[in-house]
Amino acid sequence: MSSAAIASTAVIDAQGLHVRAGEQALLRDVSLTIASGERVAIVGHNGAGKSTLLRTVSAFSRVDEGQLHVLGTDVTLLREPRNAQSTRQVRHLRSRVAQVLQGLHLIGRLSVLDNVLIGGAARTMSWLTWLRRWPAHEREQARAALARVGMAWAAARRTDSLSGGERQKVAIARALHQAAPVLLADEPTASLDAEAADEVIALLTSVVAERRATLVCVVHDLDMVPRLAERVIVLRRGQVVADVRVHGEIAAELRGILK
Amino acid sequence: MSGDFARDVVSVTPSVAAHARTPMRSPPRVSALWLLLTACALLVLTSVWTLAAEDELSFGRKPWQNLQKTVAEMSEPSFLRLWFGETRHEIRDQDGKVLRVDDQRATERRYLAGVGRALWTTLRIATLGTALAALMALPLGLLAARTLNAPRPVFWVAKGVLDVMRSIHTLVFGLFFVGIVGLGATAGILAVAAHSAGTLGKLLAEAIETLDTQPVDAVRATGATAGQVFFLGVWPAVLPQYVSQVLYVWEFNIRDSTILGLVGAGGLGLLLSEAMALFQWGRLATLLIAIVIMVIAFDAVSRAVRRRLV
Repeated sequence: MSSAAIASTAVIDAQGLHVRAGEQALLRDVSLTIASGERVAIVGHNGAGKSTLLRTVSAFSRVDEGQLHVLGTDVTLLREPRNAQSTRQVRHLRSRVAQVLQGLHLIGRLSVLDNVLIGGAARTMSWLTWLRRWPAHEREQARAALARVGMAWAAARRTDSLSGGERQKVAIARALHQAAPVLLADEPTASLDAEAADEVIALLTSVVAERRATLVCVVHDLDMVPRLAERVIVLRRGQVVADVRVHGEIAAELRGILK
Repeated sequence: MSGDFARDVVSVTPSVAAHARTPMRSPPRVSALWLLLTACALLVLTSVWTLAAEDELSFGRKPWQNLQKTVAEMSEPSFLRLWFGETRHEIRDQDGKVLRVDDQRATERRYLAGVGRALWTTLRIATLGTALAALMALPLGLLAARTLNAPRPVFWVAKGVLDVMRSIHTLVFGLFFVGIVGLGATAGILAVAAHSAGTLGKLLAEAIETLDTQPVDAVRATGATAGQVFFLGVWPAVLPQYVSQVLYVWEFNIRDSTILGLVGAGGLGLLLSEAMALFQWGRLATLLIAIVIMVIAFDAVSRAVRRRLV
């Protein structure tokens, strides 16, 4: 009974989560609850399990032990072997958890608009989308998303002709177009210069606020934390070692914890 | 779709494994290299020794004179007769009686027209064979790409078919198809297609396997269906590579199909074997020049197109 109650208020609810890859433990006994509308930063050294946590939430990594509910869906039930029903559930879950990943993850040879339209894939499953033919209202919505991130001018451009910052804005437009209640971001400002990084962060936070979405964001640059999040979770070697509110001196405190 | 989880986990592990293993690797040992070189040297020596013992290493009785003769004969390509041939070339018997008067220029003109037709046939054989191969390689290559996770038995069958097709030479396929569909271009087309489908299928599978997984995972992360992941994520990224590979194999097939005629599968090869059998070195020289020009021209075009593709 109580787990059902938690599921209704918590967007992400993990209890005693273990994720392993062969011999190596990627996540060890991770328990955390993220409520709807929260903005959470995840920090830690390389290999601390930050990306694994995001991959587990979107059912890309298998949960070996423990409980994980995302938007009320029990992710641990979606283990192998998958059948038609659990495949559908995984797709449904992923359609409600948008992702902005690090680096180049758009299809460079497709146009910017085509890349944004992919965000609506789960809504329009017709085989016509295989030929990149989308319904008129989807195209309209995708153009609106592009306009929101200030990239409407680039709709017809080839994506690999854009700069890193511009691509990251397109990635945010794809997530916007996906219209998911949860947004996962994995170092969205990695390899961007300071100016572009500022722009991407401002965009990300304002978009999340407008949509009343939940943001979980892996952050490398600790100085970014106060501008992105209101809560920080620190991981070390697959374990949660701190879970604190963001305050004025947070960057210094985090450096102390991570030392 | 059933291998989804396994694949996802696999795509996470390499970076983790790299962290764990990099310092452990020992430098390569020198003795292994020497062992290999010694083995190769032994193999070479054994080959020379045994072939010599079987008297298979002879250069014939007068290699030097033969070479000079052949070079001299081939240095006068027959097409020069178009301009320098005698219009009244008399062919006599041993007693000096005139058997026939030949207009060498007209004869050569007819022969070159024949060469032109054969070139055109060769070009068509290579083109249709490659087109057919490109179509056949598509399903086989997709099924044989490890990362697309076709059911195991299907994967192995596709891989096996591709390996068999690739390991049998076009000429051998030519002999095989001449036996089935008879002499002519059809056998040539099928032979080119059968061999090239193996090559193209393998190249396609490898292109898919080495694809950057991030953009594909990003499409999957939107909740897209397997079909959408393939057509929106995989296909646009592989297409230019595949087209470039098809062009490359096409180029290769144009060279390859010049000898298909040797086994009766149509095209230039027939004229080649005829010229060689009749010791018409001048005509052989003309044919070789024609082949070289065609191949160079096609290489240039194909390379220019491929450079603009990616």
